Amino acid sequence: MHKIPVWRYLFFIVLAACNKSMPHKADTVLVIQEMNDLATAEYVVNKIVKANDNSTWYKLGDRKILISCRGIIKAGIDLSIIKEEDVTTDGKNISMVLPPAKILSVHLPAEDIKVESETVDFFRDRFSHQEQNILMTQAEEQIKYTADSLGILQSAENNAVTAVSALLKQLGYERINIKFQSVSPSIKQ
Amino acid sequence: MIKKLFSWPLKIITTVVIVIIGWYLLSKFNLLPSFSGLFKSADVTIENTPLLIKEMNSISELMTISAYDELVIDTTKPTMSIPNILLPIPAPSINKLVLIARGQIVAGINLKEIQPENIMTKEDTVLIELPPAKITDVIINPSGFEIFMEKGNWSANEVIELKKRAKHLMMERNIQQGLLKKASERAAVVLTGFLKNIGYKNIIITLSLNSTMK
Repeated sequence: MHKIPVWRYLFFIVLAACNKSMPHKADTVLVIQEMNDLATAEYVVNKIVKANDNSTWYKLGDRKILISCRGIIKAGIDLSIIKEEDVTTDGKNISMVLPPAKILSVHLPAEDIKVESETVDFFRDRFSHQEQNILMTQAEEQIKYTADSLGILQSAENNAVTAVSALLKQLGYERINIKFQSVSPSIKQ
Repeated sequence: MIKKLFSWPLKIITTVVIVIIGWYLLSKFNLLPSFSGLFKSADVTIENTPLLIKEMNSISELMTISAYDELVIDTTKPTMSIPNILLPIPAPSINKLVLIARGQIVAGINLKEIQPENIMTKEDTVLIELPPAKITDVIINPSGFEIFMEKGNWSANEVIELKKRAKHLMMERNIQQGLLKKASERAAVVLTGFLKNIGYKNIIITLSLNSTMK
């Protein structure tokens, strides 16, 4: 049987080692999702973030930080929920039942986050950017949790009536009656 | 006497070993705090402060497509550390900041831009000319940013600038991949469904990309 010399093996090993796969820049978008949301209300809110780091028993001294931030909350309705049976037309009259409003997005732009005050004792380090980011993530959760208590959903429903009515008027309807599913009372225009 | 002297250290060592093993076993079953937990920094939590409403805006954005994206962005700057100053020729030293950004890009059309002249109706036929799609939001929240590397001193403004660059890059990249075209096409589909529910049978929607969907 024909033997392959050792130097050929070595050559292939060296060649394989040199074939370094370069990490290419990932430029593909992760997920694309179709939406059917009509955003009708936008609230701009301010929040003061207060934190005090004095709970670790073996760290001498404490440090405090005060950050102000601006958040943008959008609310609206999902148009895909509207079914044929939710709409009744009679000549120039139209009645429609819209789905209840929901929070669509909460955004805390990085450029609107500002450290207003920071107090650090002698034995402690300043809050790093990563630590500030962790605090702001908590603030983001608080804003998401309390967003619907601001009355934005009611505003979104009122504005949805205006937006949908404007479109229906352009389509030629004269008497428009819009209601919302379940929780919201009927709003007439 | 010698036996007694040896027995005392042995007793102490045995007691210490038993205590350590006992503590280890009890902490394994969550009956005692672990050694590492004892020296773990306490989490810093923020106080629950109220939200102050600054603006209330009425909008009419039909959001039709959203893309979830992720990118890595970095920046560097030269620095002069003390050992470098002592050297006759300063050795190059670099401060580096690396961020991972994860966000959502939302696109759609502004229904307020539809003017009466953009709509024509006749019996059960409707023709609508839609305005061009726009990026309505590029949302990268604090939870979407991860500081992977922070070497050297970086001011708050420098970090913000890098975050803004990540946001801009993410938006540009998604526009290049045709997100606006997809948003326009999707807007036509959404409005067609809405108009069908109203009772229109022939729906012609003209997109601003000079393409018509029927």
